[in-house]
Amino acid sequence: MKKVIFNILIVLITICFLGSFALGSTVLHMDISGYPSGTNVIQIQKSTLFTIDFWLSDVPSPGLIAWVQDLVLDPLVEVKEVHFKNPFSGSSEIIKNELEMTALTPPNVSPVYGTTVPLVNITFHCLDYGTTILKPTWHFPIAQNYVLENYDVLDLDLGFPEINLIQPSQIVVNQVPIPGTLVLIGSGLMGLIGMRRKFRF
Amino acid sequence: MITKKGIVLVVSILTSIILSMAFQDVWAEGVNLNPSYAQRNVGGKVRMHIQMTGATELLSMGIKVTFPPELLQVISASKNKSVWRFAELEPDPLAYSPEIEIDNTNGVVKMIGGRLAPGVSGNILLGWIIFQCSSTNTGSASVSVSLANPSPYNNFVKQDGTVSDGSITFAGANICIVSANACEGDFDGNGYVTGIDYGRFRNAYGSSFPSDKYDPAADFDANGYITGIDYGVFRADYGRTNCPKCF
Repeated sequence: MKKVIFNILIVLITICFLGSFALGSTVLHMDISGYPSGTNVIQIQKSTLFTIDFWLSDVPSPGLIAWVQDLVLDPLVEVKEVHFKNPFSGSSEIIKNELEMTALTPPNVSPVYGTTVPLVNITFHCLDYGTTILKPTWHFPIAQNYVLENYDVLDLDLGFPEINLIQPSQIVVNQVPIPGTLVLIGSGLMGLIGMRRKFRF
Repeated sequence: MITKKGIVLVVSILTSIILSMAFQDVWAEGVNLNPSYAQRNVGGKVRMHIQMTGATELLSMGIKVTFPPELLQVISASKNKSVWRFAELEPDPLAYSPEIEIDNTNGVVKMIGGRLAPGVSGNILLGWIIFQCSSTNTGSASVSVSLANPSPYNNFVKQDGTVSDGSITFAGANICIVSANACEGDFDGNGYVTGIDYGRFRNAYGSSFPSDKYDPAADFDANGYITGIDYGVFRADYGRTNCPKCF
């Protein structure tokens, strides 16, 4: 009995040992520049700029030749600059409320692979108070968004992260809706005028 | 000596030439196939768009596409239903009538479409065909487009009742089918896959039908999306100077 358990343990240890050498599945990362990797909630001031770095971990050989990525935006933020990382040649376009990015490894350049493959930096301008969520979505409905040189696709591996951006430092909370506030101020003024007239006469 | 009268005469002649060229460009009606050239291995697919340029208030169209059936077969053919439909009849299938006729035995596709006023103007996508190349035969497949029905039938009728069948110019296409090592990325058919071809692919990359950026020439698997898989095919060809030729 002891021997059987011992053998099973040996097999499990061997599997774990070999597994540690295998490249993990590819993951799409969205990091906020200047914050520790994995931070997905930050607080920033209105009218400031912040940058999101998109990168892939564990891209297998023979490397990435083409990728497309969409990012859902909202009116709180405005895209200021999209900078594609070397060697990708990319273009971006805002259609409705989505930033659409398409990028290729030029034909005469070797495709990139490895544990860290930077894709693009996007700089945003924070326009207003509130909370915004930057959510990546697939560009193509078919699984051909991230393609390797050997025609393998990475789409199925990629988990989509989400980044929440909160700007609470100067949140203005309107306890009373604005039209209501105006009515209150108006009625208060009318009351003051009325009181003044009463005391005058 | 150059007189004032002479200068005025020259200027007016030049102006009228330029104007006539401009108007010719605007008003010339043409039907063409895109891509006008494609190269595929045996068994490959080609998505071919039938496009009209310079249309003015068009209410109907009728075209016939002919192809060599020993080299090509039609997988599917569609009218552009966003243009050719009688919206009042929807969702009745009659809204898109008449149906397309596909004859793979004789190599003919006929498309007839109509709509109610207002007519459509400008550059219009009339329809599209997805061809499957022969899995055995190689050679140059000439695809031509013409009027669906000869006179006295009217094919292209405008909103004011005039018929433009006689003034339309038609341009066909050529599909070069080779046994192996096709240069799918040689869009202009000059035998090389160059930076010019890359520029055309780059412009279309990331698009899907019916986006304006979508270019059927770059959709090598004819699935309606120009993805990294298509780019892989293009990239493998890039820089080639040994593209096979069709004689």
